[in-house]
Amino acid sequence: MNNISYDKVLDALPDGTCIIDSDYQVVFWSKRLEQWSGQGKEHYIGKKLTILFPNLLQPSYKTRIDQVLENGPPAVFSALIHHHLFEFLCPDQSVQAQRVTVSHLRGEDGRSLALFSVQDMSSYIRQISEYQNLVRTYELELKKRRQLEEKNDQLITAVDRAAEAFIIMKVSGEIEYINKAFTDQTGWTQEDATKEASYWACQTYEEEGVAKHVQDMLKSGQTWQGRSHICCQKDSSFTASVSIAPIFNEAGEVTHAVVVQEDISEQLKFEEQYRKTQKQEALATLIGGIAHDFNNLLSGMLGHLYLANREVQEMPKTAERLKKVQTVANDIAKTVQQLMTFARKGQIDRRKFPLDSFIKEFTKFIEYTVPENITLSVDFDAADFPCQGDAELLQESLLNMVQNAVDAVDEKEADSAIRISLSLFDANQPNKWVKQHPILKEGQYAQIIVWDNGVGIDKENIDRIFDPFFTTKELGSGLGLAVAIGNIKKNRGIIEVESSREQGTSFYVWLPLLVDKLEHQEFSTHKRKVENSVILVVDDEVLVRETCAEILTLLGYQVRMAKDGQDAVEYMNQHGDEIDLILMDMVMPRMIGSVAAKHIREKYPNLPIIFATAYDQSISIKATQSFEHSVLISKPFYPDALQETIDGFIAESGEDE
Amino acid sequence: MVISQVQYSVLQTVINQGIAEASTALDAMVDCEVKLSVPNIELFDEVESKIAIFDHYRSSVSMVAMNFTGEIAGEASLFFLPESASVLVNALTGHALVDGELDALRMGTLTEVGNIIVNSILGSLCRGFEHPFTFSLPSYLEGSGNQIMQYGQYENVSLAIAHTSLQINELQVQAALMLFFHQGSFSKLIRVLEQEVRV
Repeated sequence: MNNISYDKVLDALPDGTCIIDSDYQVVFWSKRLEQWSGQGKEHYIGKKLTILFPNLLQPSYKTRIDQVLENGPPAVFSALIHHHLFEFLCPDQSVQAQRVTVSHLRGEDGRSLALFSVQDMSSYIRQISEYQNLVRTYELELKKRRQLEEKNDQLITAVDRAAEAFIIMKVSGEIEYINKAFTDQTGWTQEDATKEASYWACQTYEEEGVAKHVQDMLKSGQTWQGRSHICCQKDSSFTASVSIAPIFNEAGEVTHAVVVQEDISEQLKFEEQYRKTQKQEALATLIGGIAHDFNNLLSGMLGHLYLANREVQEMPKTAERLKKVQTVANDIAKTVQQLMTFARKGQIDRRKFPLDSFIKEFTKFIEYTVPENITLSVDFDAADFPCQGDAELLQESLLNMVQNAVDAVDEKEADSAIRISLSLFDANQPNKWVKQHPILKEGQYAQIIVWDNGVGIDKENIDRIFDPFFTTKELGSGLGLAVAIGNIKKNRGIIEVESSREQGTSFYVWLPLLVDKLEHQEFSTHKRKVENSVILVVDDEVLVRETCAEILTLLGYQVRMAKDGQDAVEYMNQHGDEIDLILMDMVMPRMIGSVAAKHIREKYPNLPIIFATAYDQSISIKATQSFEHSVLISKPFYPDALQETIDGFIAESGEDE
Repeated sequence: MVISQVQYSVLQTVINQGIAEASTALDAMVDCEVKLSVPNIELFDEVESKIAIFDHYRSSVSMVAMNFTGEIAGEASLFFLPESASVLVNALTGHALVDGELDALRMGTLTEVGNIIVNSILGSLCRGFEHPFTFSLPSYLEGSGNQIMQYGQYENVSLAIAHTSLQINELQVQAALMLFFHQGSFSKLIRVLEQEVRV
């Protein structure tokens, strides 16, 4: 060992070494450093290290190297913090990363030296770079995977919480997964379903052969959509809208199916309700139209009957026959009026009244209608029921319902009972009626129930009981409940029926209540007969116009005629001063009644006008309600009633003058 | 090991000086702000030394150790808990390395940090002595307290533990400087330090 110089030992080390003196002059430069720097040692020996590598002048290096030269402890410079002390280029032209240890040495002459031991860390740094790239890639993948998992979780949560039932099953029908909605719909738990139920066994179809068709479609990879009846665990079933879609494996074979199943029972009920409403609206339109024509014809017929009756007073037999004809015509007019009620046409006298007092009076009234063998009971909530509507129409409706109840219990041998109840409707309680009629949640409603323990209404008939002319009774007109629904609707109410053989029949009526309590109101009319007044009769129907003119003449009035609104305006422009009152048809060609009235009122603002309509009173009310000194009456009008109305107006205008 | 309150204050002052120098050196070296806290010093006699190490470091630790010989002799070691060591490396280098990953680089960084702190403390402690000291290269060790006890020569030693913490930006790194003194060295150190303070 003694024969080997320290220079050779240092040259043989894998690390590069160099030695500097206290003036930073290089005294040794190893072969390894020559190799890394690409320069021979003569380039370094005797030169100042801080001139060769100026970065070493930085305090973070120099202070610590100085400490070593002052016999201090060794100093370590790591690759991660400093990267390098000596700038050597690697074969790939990157700067070599180094770990450098500086230790104190004492030279043979006693002077302080510093030994730099340089370790090449480039491969480690490269590994770090590669490692960090890997980490970044991994983190990116991890992030993507997490996002996918989150989406997956969201999907699972969505499916699990969906209102529609989701089922995953094998093609054979063996259920593998159900969501909560399926359990809610059918009562089958996940455990029950996977152990016991075959999906194909728990549904039926309305038409034969559909089940096989559905399974065949699925096996051939097609999606099926339709309706089926789903059986529940407890022997009940419901109608569902079902979609069955195939799930393929990697080989493209159908192995499973996903079923989305929505309970549409409620929807079907609404559809049925809608269909019923549509049907009633169509019937109302049809009947309204027919009633209009009938009323015009009846106006002529009743007018002529009135005139003929006066003309044949010397012929008692003929007069008697004419009276009979008049009675029949009046009956026809009443029937037409009832039809108009169903069609919700005709005038409504909307007044405020306490519903509780009304029902009390009504029950007293029907005590004479209900036979003694039927127990009649009344049940009231202690509350105020301020209501606004036509009490007479309401009475007619309730009477028809009670009559229906009497007929129903009549068929029983004993214990017949009818009960009428009045209560405040609580829309906040779970209630099927609120679902069916959401308007019941708006404002406050009174609920009237007319119940009987009669034979009930057959299922096939219950949807038709409000149809006009539908009856199961031998002598029934089939108009009672049609009138009832028409009247209730005119009063802005709702009517429903529920019936079974066991529970009997209940008619539910909901009427909107007023927010404020009622004050006592008085109504009075002043009438005074006025003769020789001149009346302008305006009607496009010749029969109506002439009959009316003849009747009015007989009643003592002077009559002028106009064939439509335009004609009336022109007449009034020329001879308006002589006219005391106008009897004006509403619907006419060229110019309708309300428009003609508007023109006439420009010149004669206080002239009384009686509007007459054979058709849609609701539209006419709107068109005529802005006219003062006017009234809207329905055709056919009866001579006495017409005279009373005319006299009332003429008297009123006389008072004004 | 019993020393007076005055002696304790002298020792604490000298170690504080070393800590301050280390803090300055670290601060200049890296881009981030480095602060070293004023240490709390505990002293143990030779009987208690083993127990002290076990008590503090039952789990795995990272240690940078340097021996010194001269008028007094012993070993100066800086201990980090593994999680503190990782935080330190990551904070100083910006590389997110955890235990077991590219240990050579991680060890190199910890060795340098330990080297700077230990050098500053030793420089401060040895300043009052006439004759120069000889120092070993810093060595890096990882293991449990028990393993470290087997590696070092800790028989008949006195131990001074200075608990400190490095604050690098917002991060706090707990560390302990352990100064093992061979027999007689600690009392000699205290004497020299007292004289130095008087001078």
